[in-house]
Amino acid sequence: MKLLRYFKFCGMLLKFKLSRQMVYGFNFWAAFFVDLTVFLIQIAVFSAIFLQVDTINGWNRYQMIFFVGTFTIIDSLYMATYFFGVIGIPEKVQSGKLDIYLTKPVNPLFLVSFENMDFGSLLLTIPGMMMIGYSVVNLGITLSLPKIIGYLALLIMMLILMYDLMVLVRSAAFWFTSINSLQEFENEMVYFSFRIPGVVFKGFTKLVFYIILPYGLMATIPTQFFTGLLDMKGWLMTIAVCGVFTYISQFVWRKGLARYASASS
Amino acid sequence: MKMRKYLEIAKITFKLQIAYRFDVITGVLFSFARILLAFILWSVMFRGKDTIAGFSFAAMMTYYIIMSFFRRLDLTDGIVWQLSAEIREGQFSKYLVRPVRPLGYFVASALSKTAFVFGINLLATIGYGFIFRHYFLIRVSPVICLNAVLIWLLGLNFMILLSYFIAVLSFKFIDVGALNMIKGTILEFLTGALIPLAILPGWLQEGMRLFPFYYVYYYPTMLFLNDQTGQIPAAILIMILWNGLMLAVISVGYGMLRRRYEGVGA
Repeated sequence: MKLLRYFKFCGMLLKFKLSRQMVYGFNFWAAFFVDLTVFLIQIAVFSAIFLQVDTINGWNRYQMIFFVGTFTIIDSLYMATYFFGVIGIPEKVQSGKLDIYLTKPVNPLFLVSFENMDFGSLLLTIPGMMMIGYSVVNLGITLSLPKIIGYLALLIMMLILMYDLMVLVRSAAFWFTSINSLQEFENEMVYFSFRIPGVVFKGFTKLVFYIILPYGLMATIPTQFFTGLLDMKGWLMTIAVCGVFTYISQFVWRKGLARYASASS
Repeated sequence: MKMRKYLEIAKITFKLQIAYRFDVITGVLFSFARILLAFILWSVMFRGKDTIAGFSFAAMMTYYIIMSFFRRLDLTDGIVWQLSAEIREGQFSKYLVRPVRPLGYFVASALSKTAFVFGINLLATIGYGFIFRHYFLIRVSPVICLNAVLIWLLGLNFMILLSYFIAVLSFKFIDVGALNMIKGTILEFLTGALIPLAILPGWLQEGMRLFPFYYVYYYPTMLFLNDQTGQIPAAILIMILWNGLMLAVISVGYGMLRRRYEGVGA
């Protein structure tokens, strides 16, 4: 019942945002074109690399296209939903604007995260799905309902994980005056996970990018599942990492809120 | 006399940068992440191969370390954010009442910022060279080295002009943020910051040699690897021509678009 209420609330926020976006037509398309450029360049980079090598640690050209397609979808979904809301958290904490969110009868983190949805980014799922369709055909993968459901479940888990990581970084604003360096570090990590399929990590780097800073999981795990390379151990690890980071991010956010003292934070 | 006021602008900008030293230092340190990324990615691709597109693994690592050095010196992106915001918010008027040309102001300011980060970057690069000492090979004569620096300076000047031009478009389009981000993404590829351009097909490389982006970071980096040294005169000539062309475009564009400025935001 509570969940349904939040879904309805989300719909309202989306409606408000959409009507605001329609006033500035260019802004509606801006995020789409920026992201589209990123992924076209990404395709160009991997195409150039595959002119020189046949595989990247066992992944062929089409698995890489699937990987980029999956990242395109994850990116467009998080940009369309919570990205622009979450990145505004530090400014709201430092300026005291968070006060308004605390007085509303909804979860403040939910409100602050989803008040700035961006419909334009959602269009990017189309090229993402086209990339996936192209690689599925070339990899000769037979589609089945469990495969599609499993893939969607992993996509949702990765969106939650990305959300947890973003909130965790921004919650540092409750303790520190400037978190620019931390955000820059996060940018580098996202850059990492965009450009490197997790399969290249071994030993210590795998521990770092799969468990401690799990940016390496993002598009790799759904790709591994769809191409039949994800075993039960991989599933369990993904669920565990996702669960632990959700708990940590909520815990840190609550601790931060308890410390929040309006504009003097 | 004319130059003195721009020198003063450079000095003031340099002093202001000290306030941001922590961000500069952390930014430089995070550039290590990209070198590490290159190390992980290419070490996988070099398995069972001695060379890729003419690069040994050591040459590839050297490429990324030097490339990272040049990239961190390019702070021209800030011109777009600063100038376009000033145009939007009506603060551009201050340049109209001062006895300086806005372009001169931004060139002096950008060069000063580069000078500020130069020393920190050089130290970081030496550090990266030490960490990857088994893969860091610089074998270049002082003459080639000077030529590489000259071409890099021409490239930096071109990037300043390009950023200035994009910012000037704010007179018409108001918000050029998205355009600037698209520019940044495309240039990361065209300048060889993501992958060495030598990996691309030959015909594409030949075409790219006619454009300035090839010479911004990629060509100076290749000179440090003692490669393509025979094309130095052509590279200098091409960059001088592109800088001249960009100046002409700015002159025409600024003249046309500035009339739209109303002093209270475009």
